[in-house]
Amino acid sequence: MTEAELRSAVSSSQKDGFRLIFQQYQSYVYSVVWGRIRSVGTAEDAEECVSDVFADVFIHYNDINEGSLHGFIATAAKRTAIDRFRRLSAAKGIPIEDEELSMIPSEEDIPRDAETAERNARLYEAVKSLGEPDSTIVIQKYFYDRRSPDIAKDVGMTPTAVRVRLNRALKKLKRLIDADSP
Amino acid sequence: MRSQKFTLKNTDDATASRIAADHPADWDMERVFERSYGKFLGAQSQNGTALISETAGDTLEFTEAETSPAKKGLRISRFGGIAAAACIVAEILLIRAICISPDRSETPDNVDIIPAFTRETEGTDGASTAPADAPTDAVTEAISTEKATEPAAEDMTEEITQEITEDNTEESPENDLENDDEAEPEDAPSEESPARETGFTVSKGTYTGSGLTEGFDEIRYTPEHEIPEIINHSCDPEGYMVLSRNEKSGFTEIQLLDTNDGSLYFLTVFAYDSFRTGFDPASGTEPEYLEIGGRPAIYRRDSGDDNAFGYLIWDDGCHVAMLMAEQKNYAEMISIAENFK
Repeated sequence: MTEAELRSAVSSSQKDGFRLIFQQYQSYVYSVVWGRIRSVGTAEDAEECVSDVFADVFIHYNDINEGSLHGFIATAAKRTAIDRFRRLSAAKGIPIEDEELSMIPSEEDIPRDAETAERNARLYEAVKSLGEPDSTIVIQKYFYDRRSPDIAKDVGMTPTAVRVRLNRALKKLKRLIDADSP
Repeated sequence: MRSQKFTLKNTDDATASRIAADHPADWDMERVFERSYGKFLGAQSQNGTALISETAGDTLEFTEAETSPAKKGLRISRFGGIAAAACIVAEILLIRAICISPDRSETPDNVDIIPAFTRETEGTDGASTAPADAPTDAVTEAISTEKATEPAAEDMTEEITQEITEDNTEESPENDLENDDEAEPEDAPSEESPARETGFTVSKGTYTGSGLTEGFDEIRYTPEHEIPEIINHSCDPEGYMVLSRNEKSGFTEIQLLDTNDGSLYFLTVFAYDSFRTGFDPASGTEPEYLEIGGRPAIYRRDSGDDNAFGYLIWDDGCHVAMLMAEQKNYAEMISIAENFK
């Protein structure tokens, strides 16, 4: 939907219109938030942060200029995610300064980072090669940090079946990575 | 052999972007939306405008003039005010949508009253009161006064980063899988009983409301007494101000403001002959069974978090009352329940 259509929907029904805005941007916002806090936060933290972002958007909706909705949401997502990251880091006793400094690569870090990225890419390719629903289960569990019962609802299985599939998928992953190792 | 650590959660940004694109986070977002919308409404209420409710005609205005007697010390803290209001709104919307369901007319008159808080080894009221689409093989637990504090089947603090090391030859033993299978609750067919059971029951995986079925457990409460009309039920506990009171069809919503710290509580009073509420056992605590002023009560939090939402449900002697607030306000919830008249 275009921004004009979204605004029209809000004019007709505030809650339904806000829901449409949420539905249009929730994946984007979640990816921004999770990308920032995943090293220190949980899926619950991400959901809370996403809800904060959209609450901010709803509260300031009438102040957002025409054509600026996407930009406002993007800014709110980044700002809120950084704020949440800082709070979570502080709660875990991670010095913010150290965390920020660690994000600036040194010359020595560059080869190591390249190796890490290559290894991560290999892992993800291996996860994808598991096929569905196993790749989804692994991603939901180990990337998004979701609980087996929640995953089970999404994939239409019992929590036990999810755990069993996860166990087998991890063994298969190990074999795949071992076979692919130089 | 050098060990290599493979991790998904702490992957690099480029891989994370690929994963997010391939597997967008789109689950359960209606709940997150409701939470956002609740926060928005909560913020509006803080501006002195109409209190949180879309049915504005049913709500009272929350103005400084009305709150002035209690204004001294009135503090809407972040957790006590916005978050509570937001959560409460979200939860009340959720509850309206999925949780509250009166069960009438299916209980015979010649009932055998079973006192609340007695342990039953078997038998349920499932056949007589469960929804038609509820699983017939539900395992129903009768409740005792002992606190039911068994840990959840899955460790909620389960480590999420899985390391796969090249030199790691240790594999999960096969009997782990067997144990996992055994961890499934054994199905026990419920027996039809003409008796009208009273008190609380928790039925595993039986909740059927608004499309929520598998994995949701159900708390059902059936009082011993006959149900009177609810219309003139009074609630004005000392130290609290009634911000809104909405008479609905069959139940009453009362929003209470703690005049000492600004915390908000949402009290709902039912005149049903039984009521039920669904909850996700994976994301909350086990129900805790209490007695408040000699009346049966049940308490549960939505998660282990200190700020998690808490439910307190009790029989006030003539109605079923449910109070919602943050867990940290547990003592106050008990106090309200004790003074509820």
